[in-house]
Amino acid sequence: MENADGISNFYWILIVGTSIVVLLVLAIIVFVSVYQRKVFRQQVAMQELETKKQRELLLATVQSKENERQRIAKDLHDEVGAMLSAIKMSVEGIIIKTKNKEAHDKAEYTKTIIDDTISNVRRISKDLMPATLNEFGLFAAVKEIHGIMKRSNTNILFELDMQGNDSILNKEQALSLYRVVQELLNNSVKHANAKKISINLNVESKRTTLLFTDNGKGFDIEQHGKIQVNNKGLGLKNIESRVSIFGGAVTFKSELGSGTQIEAYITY
Amino acid sequence: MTTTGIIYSLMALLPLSIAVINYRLLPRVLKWVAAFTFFSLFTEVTMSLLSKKGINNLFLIHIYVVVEYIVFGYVYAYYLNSIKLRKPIYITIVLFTAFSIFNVICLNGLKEFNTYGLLVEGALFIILSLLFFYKLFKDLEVGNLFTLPMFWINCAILIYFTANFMLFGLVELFPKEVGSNLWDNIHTTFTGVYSILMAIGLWKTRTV
Repeated sequence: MENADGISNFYWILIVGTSIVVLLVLAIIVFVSVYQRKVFRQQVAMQELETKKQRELLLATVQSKENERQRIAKDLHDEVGAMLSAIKMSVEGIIIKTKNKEAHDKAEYTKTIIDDTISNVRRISKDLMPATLNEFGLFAAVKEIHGIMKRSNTNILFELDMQGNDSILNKEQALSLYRVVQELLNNSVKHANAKKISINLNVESKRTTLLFTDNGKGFDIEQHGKIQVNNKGLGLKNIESRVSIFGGAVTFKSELGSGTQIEAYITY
Repeated sequence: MTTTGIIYSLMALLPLSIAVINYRLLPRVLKWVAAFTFFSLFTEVTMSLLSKKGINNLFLIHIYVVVEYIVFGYVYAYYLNSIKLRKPIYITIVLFTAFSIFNVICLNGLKEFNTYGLLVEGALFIILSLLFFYKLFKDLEVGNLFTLPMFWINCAILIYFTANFMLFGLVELFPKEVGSNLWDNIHTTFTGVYSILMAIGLWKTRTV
């Protein structure tokens, strides 16, 4: 009887022991699962932190570039522009006072050159830092650059469509989008020989999308990537950098001979 | 040699073979584990031979247990250094060796089964292996645990010594009717699990 009880107790102990070992194995499995999930979360957090750091660095670089542009634009406008105006007035004085025909003609010619230089300085200063953007916002600045381009390239058909409320964009976001439009317009006019350029800007509550299309000669995206390595195609790289600061991205669709379509967005 | 003895020896051959193949690739600390697998097989074979000749072989378990704790204690001291446990582990090695001598003199003699030594060793290894898991969880340095050799070795130690802790604790309770065969079979099963996990650990050195 005692032996039977002993065996029964022993089997109970054995069952409990086996259960403990099985539980131990299960605990190891749970540990691994929890550990891997925690590691994954940590990796994601670190990646986000890295991306945030990169964005901040990029923003600082872009801002310092913009500050420098602003300084140069101000110097050009206030100092060079003022000096040129003074020279112009002095030349105008010579034109009025001189009786020598040859000197009068030369002074007139000089005045024309000074006028051209003044308007060039104004244009460069405006390109460097558009006052309209600061005063009236993105839509007005884009409308202005669009108008300038339209007037100086009468053989190109320009289309502009802007939707939404641009006042929700902060200064940095508006400036980035403006620079993107400026870069794309310059590329299309100067390098793509486009005959039709279309800009579509849509400001929504959470994101702004820019769709830029031209019917120019296009480019080979893969080849362009190689060119960028040689520091010759930094324009598109700049566009990518500018939108990525604001959690955006840019997609280029282009083929040689069939135009270019660029879609960029920023989020906020 | 009994059937369980043969199985035991064959299982021990698995980590031993991998230790031979991978020896050059093993980090210095795991070379001690590899060397221990040789010692383990040597002890097992010697015990079988002595048993065959009718000589009491239980004194070998006393020696084996001390060597085992010194080797794995050193391994844990190395891996748990970042949580400042190196010195306390070295102290346990000294204390455990002293306890083993005391055990031979006062408790389980050299000709008796080393029940107390195995129980204390099991308890210490359970604590160390849990501390290793704690350290892994605290540091989160390893992307994939399955590629870490010490993870497998630690699992082997935790499972084997938890089972041993219970088996050697129960050895007095095993009724004669059940016989020692069942005890041997359970022990062999866990030795097999231990050997497989240890072999994976030594093999994983290739992926690190």
